[in-house]
Parts: sequence; C-alpha cells; structure tokens
Amino acid sequence: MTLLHVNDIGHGYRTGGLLARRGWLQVLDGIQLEFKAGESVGLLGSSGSGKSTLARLLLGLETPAHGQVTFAGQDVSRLRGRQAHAFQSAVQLVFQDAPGAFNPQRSIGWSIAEPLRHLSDLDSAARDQRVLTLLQQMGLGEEHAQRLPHQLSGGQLQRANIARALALSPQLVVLDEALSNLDRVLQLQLLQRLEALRRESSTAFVLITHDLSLVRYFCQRVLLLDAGRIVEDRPVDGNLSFDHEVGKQLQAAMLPTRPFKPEAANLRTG
Amino acid sequence: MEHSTLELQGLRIEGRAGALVEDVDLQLRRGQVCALVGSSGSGKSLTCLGSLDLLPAGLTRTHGQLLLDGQALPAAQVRGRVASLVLQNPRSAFNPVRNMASHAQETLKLRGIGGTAARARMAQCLEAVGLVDRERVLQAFAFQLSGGMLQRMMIALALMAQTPFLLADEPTSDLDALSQARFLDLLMELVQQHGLGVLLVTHDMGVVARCADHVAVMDAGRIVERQTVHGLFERPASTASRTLLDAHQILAGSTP
Repeated sequence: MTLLHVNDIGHGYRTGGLLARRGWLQVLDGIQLEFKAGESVGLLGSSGSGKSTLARLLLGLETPAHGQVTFAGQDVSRLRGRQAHAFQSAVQLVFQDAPGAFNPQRSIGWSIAEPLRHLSDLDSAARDQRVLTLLQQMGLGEEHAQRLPHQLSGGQLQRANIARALALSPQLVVLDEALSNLDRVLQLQLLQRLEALRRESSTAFVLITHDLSLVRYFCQRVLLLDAGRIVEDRPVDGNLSFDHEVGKQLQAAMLPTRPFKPEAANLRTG
Repeated sequence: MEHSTLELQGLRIEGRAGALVEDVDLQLRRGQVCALVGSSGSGKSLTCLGSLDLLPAGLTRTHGQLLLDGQALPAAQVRGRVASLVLQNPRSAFNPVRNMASHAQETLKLRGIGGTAARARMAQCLEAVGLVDRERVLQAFAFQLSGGMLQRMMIALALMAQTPFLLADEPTSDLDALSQARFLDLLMELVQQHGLGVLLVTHDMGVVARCADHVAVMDAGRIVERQTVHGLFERPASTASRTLLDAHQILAGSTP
C-alpha cells in the first residue's frame, strides 16, 4: 500500500533581501517517489543537498513550487478540516534539535500528550496511560513524564521527542537527522525499538541522515540526493555500494571499524 | 618542538551534589592523539573544560594541576599559549558581531603579531585548514558560515596561536560525514607533520579507530580503563568500553 506519492516536485527559495540582488535558488528538481507502508527508507545526501526541504514538503509544511505530494489521492498542501487532521495523525516528523522541540515551561508528559489533546478523542486518564506506554516504549519511565525538558539529558529528550511523534500511531514517521546527535549506544537502542515498531504495526520510516552505517542497519531502500535530484534509488543489501560520485564520497568518509595505524610505541621508538 | 608532554594530574571537579570528576590523570605527548571516551554524562567534557579552568558557574576544580614537561603551570598560562581548545558547537564559540578577521587579529595580537605579518599568518593558517575562499571567510560573520567551515576556522585560530597541544571536545559530532572525514584528515596531518599533541574527547569509536594512539575510558567521572587503541579494540577490559565497542561494531557492520 502506498502512503505518500511524490509527483514530480520541484522547489526553491528566493535569495537576497533588501540590499542584495534577488534571485531564485533551486533546491529540489524533478523528484518522483513513493513511500509504502512498513518500509523504512534512508535518505542520504551531503549538507545542502535538499534533504530537509524534501522532508518539509512531504509533511505539507510548505507547498512545492512545482508538482505535488499526495496522501490518499489528495494534495497534502491543500488539505483542510477532517482530512488535514487525518493526515497530521498519519504522518509525523522528528527534527534533530530536541531541546528546541519542547516547551521549556511544560512537563515532558504534557508535551507528549499535545497531539493526543488535539487529534484524538482520548480523555485525560486515557491520555496519561498512553503517555506512559509511549515513554516505556522508548525506554523512559513514569518519572520522566513529570520533568521539565531541561531536566533530561539530550538523549532522553530526543527519545521523548520520538515518543511524541509516535503518540497517534502514525503510518509514516520522518526522522530528519533525529539520531545524529546521539551516541552510538543510544542510536542502536532507538533503531532497535523503531524496528520492532515497524514489524509489529507496519509503521513506515524515512531516515534522513548522512551516516551510511545507520542506513545499512535500519533501511530496506536508500535514496541518494545530490543538488536537489534523486541520483540513486536502490535496495539496501549486504554490500551496499553506490555508482554516483556523492555516494562514493559518503562511503569513503565512513570511519574505520578497527584501528589501522601502526602501534604508537613502534612509531615512536622504532 | 620545545615542549614534549602535557600532563593533567589528579583532577577533581565538584558541584553542589558532590564530586562529578575524580582522580583523573591524563598525559598528552606531541605527535600523538589521546582519546578520552565514555557515554554521555560520564564527565568527558567537564574534564576538558576543568583542566583549563573554564568550568561553568556552580562547578569548581578542587584538585588537579597541569604539568608541562614535569613543571607545574597554572591553567591561565596554559590556555591559548600551550594548549588551544576546540569545542563541539563552533557556532557558540564565536562572537556574533565580529567577523572572522577580527577573531584572528585578536589571537595574533596576543602573540605580538600585527600588520602584514598577521595577514600572512592568517592566509597561511586558513590555507592549512582548507578554507580556500579566504577573503570571503575572513569578512564573514559566524552566521554566514556553515558548521564545517566554522569548525575549520576554530582549528585555524588554534594554529595561529601556535600552541603545541590541542584539546578537542567532540569536534566532529555536529558535522556531516564528509566534513567529519575532512576534519579528521586535517587533524591527523597536523599531528603527524607538525607534531601537535591532541586530547580528543569523543563517544564515537570510529573516530577513535581513525585517530587515536592511546585511549582513556571514562565512566561516572573516573577513568576506568587505559589502553593503546589496538589493545582496547582487541581486549576491552571495562563494561563502559565494551558497551561502546559493541554498539560501534554492530552499526559499522563489523566487516573485518
């Protein structure tokens, strides 16, 4: 089942300002994609390749200059009323900056319950129960619901952020560099939890990253974006390799698994 | 090559709730990289800041001293003269209302370099870190440069200060994979060709594998393991290092 259809979209931004000459910066061009239920797709690209702009367009946060993104046959940037609510419950986005994604004056539990208050029929008690389940799903506990954002570590806060995105049991979750700031141990734990969710409830994921190892671990399909165009779209298998220059660069930039330098002692005394 | 070792002895940092860092000894040698690893909250960054007396308000260094070639030296004389510091978030390390040239002039002035000599030194250091578009970078303010460029600029400033040692706290965790690889290539070039001695704070065992000679593993404010990098990858002794290595090897695909 196809969740989202991306139909030949192009997008850009106006540059310049009061004093500088105005221009048009083309960010995305001719993007054609489909996202299916239960699939996890990696979206790779270097800085400035248009990854985050694509995420914003997928969520209907901006209207593409050209083409359209459709959800259940409807253009997502034109949804209103009940249809808009259905779309907002079905597709969620998590950003990298967790501290910026929480109201600093409200408890974590309050923030996680926010989508439930607006987009579900749950009463207060049922919402509290749901918040607790979500926290546990992300490896946090009841005590974290009462705390304020600044009382949690970066890793805990990002888990709470993902918990909120999962509150309405969405069909598609876009993680825009959402794991990049976390250490490897936390990245692995989170990916394992999300993988379980994908298997159990066929939630689809789009993992936007520049880290090839996360894609290799978590995704079935990988898209490579360069200068606003999809330059590769291939399945992730045992020995993932790319034909395009940018893919090769990302591969070459991967850190070694094991040390390869000669022993320091030999280098010094030898 | 006037100095060869910088040592940190018996560092202890206390907050209101008690000791956060205890009994930390580290030794840096020129031309080598010592990695300080540990999970989030283990006290790595505090060690880095505490050793140079740059702790945030509310925290105090109650013990610990720096030794340069065995001679005790106050932190204020080490900062910027013996050791430079590169932090995780380069954006907050620059003055937002001053351009890059002004930061560079400030650093060079401290070393008594001005005028044409200063401009030549700036050019040289910016080129060394791969900032090729020199004029534009020097005229730019922090908000006009990318994270990767700012991180290079921090290194360029450290080079201008001509310190024999560098403390780098998670220098690449905000950079994308390509910028990270370029940054680490540059760092290793400085280590190997200019004999820079580096303390590299990181939680990424890939960075450790790429750069480190020696590794100190930190857990709950204490050093729990000290090994050469090969020793650590072959025979990790502490739970902290095994946890980090396991996650690294699973995610990196562990291809031999």
